[in-house]
Amino acid sequence: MTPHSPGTGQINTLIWIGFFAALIVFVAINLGLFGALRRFGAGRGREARPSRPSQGVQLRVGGGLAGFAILLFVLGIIFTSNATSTPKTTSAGLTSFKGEKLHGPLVIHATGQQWIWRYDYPNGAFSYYKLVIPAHTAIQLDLESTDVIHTWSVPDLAPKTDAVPGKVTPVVFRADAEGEFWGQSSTFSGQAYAPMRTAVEVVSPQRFEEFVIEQQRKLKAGNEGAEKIEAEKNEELAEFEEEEAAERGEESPAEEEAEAAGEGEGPESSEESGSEETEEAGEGEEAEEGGEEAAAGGAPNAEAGEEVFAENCSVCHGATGHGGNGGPDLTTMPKAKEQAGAEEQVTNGGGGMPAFSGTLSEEEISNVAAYVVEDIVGGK
Amino acid sequence: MSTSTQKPRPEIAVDGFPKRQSGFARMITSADHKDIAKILMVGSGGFLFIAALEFFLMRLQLAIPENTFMEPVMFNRILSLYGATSIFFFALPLIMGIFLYVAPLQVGARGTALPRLSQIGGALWVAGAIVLYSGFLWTPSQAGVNPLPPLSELAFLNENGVDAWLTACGFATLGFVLIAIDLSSTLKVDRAPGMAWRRAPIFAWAAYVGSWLMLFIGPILLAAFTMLMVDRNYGAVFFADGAGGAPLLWQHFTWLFYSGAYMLVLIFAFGAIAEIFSTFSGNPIFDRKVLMGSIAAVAVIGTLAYMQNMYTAPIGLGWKYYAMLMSMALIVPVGLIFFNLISGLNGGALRMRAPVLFAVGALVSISLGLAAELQQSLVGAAFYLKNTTDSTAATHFALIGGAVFGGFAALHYWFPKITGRTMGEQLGRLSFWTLTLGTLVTFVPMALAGWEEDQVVDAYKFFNHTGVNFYNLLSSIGMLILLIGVILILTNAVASVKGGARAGHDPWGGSTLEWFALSPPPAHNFDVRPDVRSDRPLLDIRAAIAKRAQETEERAAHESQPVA
Repeated sequence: MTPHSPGTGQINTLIWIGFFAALIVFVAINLGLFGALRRFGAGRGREARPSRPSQGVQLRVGGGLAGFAILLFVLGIIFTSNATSTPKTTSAGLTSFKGEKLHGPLVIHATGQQWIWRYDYPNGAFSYYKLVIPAHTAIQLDLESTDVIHTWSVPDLAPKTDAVPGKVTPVVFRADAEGEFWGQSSTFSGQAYAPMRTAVEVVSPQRFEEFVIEQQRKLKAGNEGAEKIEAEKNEELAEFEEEEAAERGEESPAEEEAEAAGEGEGPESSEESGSEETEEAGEGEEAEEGGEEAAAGGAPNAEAGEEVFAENCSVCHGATGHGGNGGPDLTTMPKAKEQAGAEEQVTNGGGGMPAFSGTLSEEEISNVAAYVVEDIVGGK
Repeated sequence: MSTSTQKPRPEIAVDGFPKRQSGFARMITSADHKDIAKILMVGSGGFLFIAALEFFLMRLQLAIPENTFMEPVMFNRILSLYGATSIFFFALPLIMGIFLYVAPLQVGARGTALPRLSQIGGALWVAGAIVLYSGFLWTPSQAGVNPLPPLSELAFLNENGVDAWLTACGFATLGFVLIAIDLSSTLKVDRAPGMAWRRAPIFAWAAYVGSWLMLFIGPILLAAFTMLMVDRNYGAVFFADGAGGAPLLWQHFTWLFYSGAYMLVLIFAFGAIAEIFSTFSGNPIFDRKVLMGSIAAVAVIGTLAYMQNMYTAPIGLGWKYYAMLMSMALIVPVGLIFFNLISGLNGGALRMRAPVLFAVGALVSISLGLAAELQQSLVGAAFYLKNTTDSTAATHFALIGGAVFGGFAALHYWFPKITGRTMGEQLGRLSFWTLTLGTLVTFVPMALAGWEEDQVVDAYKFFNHTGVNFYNLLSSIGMLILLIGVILILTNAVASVKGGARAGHDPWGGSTLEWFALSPPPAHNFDVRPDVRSDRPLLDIRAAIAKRAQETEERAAHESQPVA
């Protein structure tokens, strides 16, 4: 670890103190042991002439050990309390947020879920996977969990802390350097525990404010885009039904189902749709255009995509693609409604989702996208 | 009182000869502490191999970055099995088995006080092993080494594998508790006449303290297991969040048990090493009172330090300081034990036989593990080191030191008593050096990967370009060596049962009472229970025999002298 915050500096010092204490203990024991083995071996045909413990030797040894223990205990307390104390925001840090003066540390919520971290910023913006914070500013990260116990750990910045469901656990730290830092959850949390990582991007306070405002705007655009698609879809459906009704005079049961599905999706999507649009705002327009293309393109094989989905995507998005394991419900994602958008998302990732361009071939990507669009979202 | 002729009656009356039984039938129906202990020891030997194999499979998956050798689910299942196997089916039964075999012999008891309890205990342990490894009947647990709720709750793992895991480990623990009741009562009431605690062997004292420790921690774990079972099967909310349940409660219960079990391994190893050093160097125990006190203190203080496993959990900082205080306090008794064990060699003439080699290996490995634990029991340091592979390495150094090296030191030492034959010396040495090399090559790189690059525990893969590729490859190679070492030592043990050199009842020249019995001891252990006059009763007995022989000789010489 390379400490980049006052707290982790203290932690690092204490680790080295602990290391030297451990070294002293280990070396002392083994010097004594091997010295005794050398001197008192039976090799030279010597007879056993045991020595009796001299008066008070145990007391002296025990006293020495106790002194050593007390010293370590005191050092431990000093450095630990330093490491857990709330740092001050320096003058280079974020002193006001959206024009309002900050009094305590900047509070950000971090929610662990199987198997991704979600960060909620004070203005309602949020991001998955990557946390963006201002440098030189005291941050209070309120850890929560929606399912099992996770440990939030970014060793360069803050002490490792558990997020336990039903509890809010604050972690306070101050990042003193800009840059990107990595962390990995470190309490076993099930299937996809190993890839449950997180990134922290430390930026200048100005850039941070821009980021959260931008993020909020994107989320809003994402929501609007989703609503627009829903509205259009419902409209089309309604038209189609009218035509059908006009032609045959009655509705087939299949269409009733389709209608019901469409209606069911409506409210969900407007609530949830933002979850994956952290980096690609305003793609509602793209989605509009892509819709027809997907229907036209017959090349991608949705059946082959099913296998790819089961192996790569179901871990987060659930076996049926309706979410549940950290990944969002795909039927609520605007991008998943058309082939081009789904392919783009799988290829490049974003919003907490890893990029699959290295792992999957282009063919596989188009197949899995077809599967998502046709079977999962299309409701086949 | 009438002086008429009263016929002398035989002391023991039998209704004829007992029915002839095959060895196997006798073994499984016997309530003799030696037979039950044999089942535990043989079983745990097998599970040592299985645990090593499981660890090796996991290391195989972690040999190269982003490996796809094993599905994540498969890895997690093996991980959960390994956690149960290494603790409940290797380390604890081996220790309880050796305690149960040797300690009653050491105090000159003719059997245990409550033999049926031990019998049920042994049967429960076997039942647990069968439940755990009937995994093909159900989907095995994938809840990890310690199945932390809420992950182990029905909502997240609705396969019955978790229930099987809990049942298996619960059966085993209940078995240990029953054996501990038997053992502690035996050691309390059945010591040979004259054997006050100040004259009792250190290993018997360790068994006594260990039994009491098991009596305290075992029921706590059983309570936790029961609560989780009720949660899973009858809809209670002891540990489930959201409905007033407390996920952290589980951690308090189980870490208390696991810390206690850790200390049990340590005091077992210290007790065995004290006996081995004393016998092979010809010295008495250096300072009996301090050693006995320190062993008891380790059991108490080490268990109270259990919250050092929860430094990252949301408990008050004060509790963490309390755990750190206990961990630091542990330095004193552990340091005194090391000081006394090493001082016990002073002035002696140590014969470097295989038991001594393993005892030295155990001390080195335990000192390395405990030193690394010392670093991690500083709260602030644990904010980084906890749950990295560094902590895995520390735990494994201490527990492999205690249970594998210490366990096999004890087995090498008492093998002649158990089977009547000694274990092969050459193969013993070879397996010792293989195990040593394997342990170092496996766990030193693991510790470095955890400390330098924050590699996390229990993960089924690690990522490329995180700087740990070389460490992990080295660690996997080390695990292969370790596995070979385990195979060698088990081969040695199995082969020596039939093919070892015949040993008399006292091959090492020991000073404690178990060497007074025949090898292997008969069902009633001792024909005569000797009076104990010192802390090295066998020396008194040998001196008495020598004296009597001399007297006989003198008398014979005197009588054969021609009368002048």
